[in-house]
Amino acid sequence: MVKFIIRRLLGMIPVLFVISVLLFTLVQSVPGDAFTGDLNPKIDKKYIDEMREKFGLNKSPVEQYFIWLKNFAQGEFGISFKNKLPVSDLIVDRIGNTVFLAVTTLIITYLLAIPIGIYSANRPYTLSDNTITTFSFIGLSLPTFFGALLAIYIFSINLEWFPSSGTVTAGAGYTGIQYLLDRLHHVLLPAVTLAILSVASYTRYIRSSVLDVKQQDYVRTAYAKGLPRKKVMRKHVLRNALMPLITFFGLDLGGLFAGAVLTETVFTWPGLGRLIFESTVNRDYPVMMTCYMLIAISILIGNLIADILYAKADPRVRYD
Amino acid sequence: MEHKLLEIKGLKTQFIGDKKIIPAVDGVDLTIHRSETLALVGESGCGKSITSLSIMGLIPENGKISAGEIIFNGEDLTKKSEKELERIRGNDVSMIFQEPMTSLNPVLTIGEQLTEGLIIHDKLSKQEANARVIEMLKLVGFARAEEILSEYPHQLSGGMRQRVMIAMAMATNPKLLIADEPTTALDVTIQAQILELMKELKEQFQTSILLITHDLGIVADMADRVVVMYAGQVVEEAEVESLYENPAHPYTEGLMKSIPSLEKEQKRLYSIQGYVPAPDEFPIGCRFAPRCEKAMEICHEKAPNIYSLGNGHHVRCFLYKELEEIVEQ
Repeated sequence: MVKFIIRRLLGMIPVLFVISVLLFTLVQSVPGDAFTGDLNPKIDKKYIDEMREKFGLNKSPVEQYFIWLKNFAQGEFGISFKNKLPVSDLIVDRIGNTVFLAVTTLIITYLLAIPIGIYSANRPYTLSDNTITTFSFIGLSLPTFFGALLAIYIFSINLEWFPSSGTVTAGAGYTGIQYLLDRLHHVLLPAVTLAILSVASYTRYIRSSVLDVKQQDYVRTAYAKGLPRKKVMRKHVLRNALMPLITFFGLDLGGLFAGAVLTETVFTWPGLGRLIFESTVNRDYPVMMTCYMLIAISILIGNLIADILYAKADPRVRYD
Repeated sequence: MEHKLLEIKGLKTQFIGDKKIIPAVDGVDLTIHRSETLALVGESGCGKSITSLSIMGLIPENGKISAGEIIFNGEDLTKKSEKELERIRGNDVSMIFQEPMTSLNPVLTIGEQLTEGLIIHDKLSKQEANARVIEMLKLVGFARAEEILSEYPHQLSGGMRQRVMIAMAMATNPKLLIADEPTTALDVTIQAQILELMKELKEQFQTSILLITHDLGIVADMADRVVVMYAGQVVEEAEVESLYENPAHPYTEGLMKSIPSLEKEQKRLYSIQGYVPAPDEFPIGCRFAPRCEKAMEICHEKAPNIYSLGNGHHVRCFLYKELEEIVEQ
């Protein structure tokens, strides 16, 4: 197992290299750079040229790539063009918020989707199952930003149950448990909005997986042994039916750092998603590249974790 | 009365299809005596498996028993609650299935799967159940029974898995073992071993066996009596010798002729023309008539009754209408 993990980690290096080349090409092929949008007429053109020279933007793309690669490999992520702050500081500032939002979303998703999916699978094609299916499809087809705006409109503006933006009440100076509750109060609306969308697809998936496993011969064997229905469900059906969720979990782990670009933007949630959005709008190359690489790495790690969990959960899967 | 272990009377099991009722089992009568092996024979789709699942109370969700009685050990199983059936399943009536490759849960150890029935039915502790299971595994031919307990199904071959299934079924010392095509998915050499094992265990435990098969070759070797099913009905019932010497129903005859023989030189293997009709397309007259070489006019118009050839040999065919008629329950 240890050998397997080491092999997989080493295998990531060439993958990341290829990804970085692709990303760099994509980032560079957008016309203009961080200074193109500076329309302030008072700024001397000479100053802008100096800045371009200073940040190495006048060099050839290939040269720029290798300079970036050399720095990145040494853990030098550069300075944001926009904020003049080290990229690592910007990310450290934001990552906590993003993880907090993502983990809350994940917990809400699992808490809702697993029971709903199982409930649905146990009553296939009944009124309640069809209702759930209908709502799942509505959830699946609703764009994130629309769901987010709708949630703000209903729950923040009309009902005033939840704040529409931010991570804490500004200037309230809460401490201890009150601070935690305040943060939860802020995270709930964006988290539930995000969760509703993934609950829809998870529910569909769990439903079909449970239905499929219920048809398996070994479930019939379990009934033939005289086990009560509940025990058959718990021991024989669910264990097998929920195993494929590990794949989803791995993908979710990978997506954790990607943040929810649109949702974070709509809810003015200061996380990585918004940082990605802002840096992309501003062509802030160092921030963009670092964030995108972070996403790539977390997706690879997420997949690795999923594979390791599979080996733990399924005796047929063995790595040597 | 005492020596009847299972008596099925007029069993009808139906499935609800798309607004159609599909009569998969349509008025089956059969009896299994204590420590007897009864073979239930017929082509795929004739209702053998649904008959056995009806006994177990394990019919798929869109099906139900609509008429008839299943009297096991003096009690009607069709009137039992789910809770009561759970106490009988795997305890008094056990079942082994056709596909040993998929009949065991891939993520649980063999030990876990073998002991759970014992723990529920016989209220054994984990250790007692393990000891009993090791004993059973040795009995079905595992030399290294202790090691098998912690192994998973994918580490065993098909034949070994079927042995595990047999050990599982016999561990609670059931009165009736239902074996649904237990050797169909196995190699011929393994088939013989598994059948031999079932015979030995039957002797040792005095268990009755309901052997479901389409292979008349193994019936002669295993069974005391034979019931031939066609299109949801019993068409012939006889002692095994009587059936082989004198197959009365043209369908049984056809099945017999379909067995490849080494003695007779055959250019082509005999086969019964056509297919078993789907349960919603049964003909009005005799259900076998459209495929029958001996069909008469009456066969296409009226459904035949059951006639007795004596000595417990019954047949549902107009060829024997001169003989004594058996009244169906």
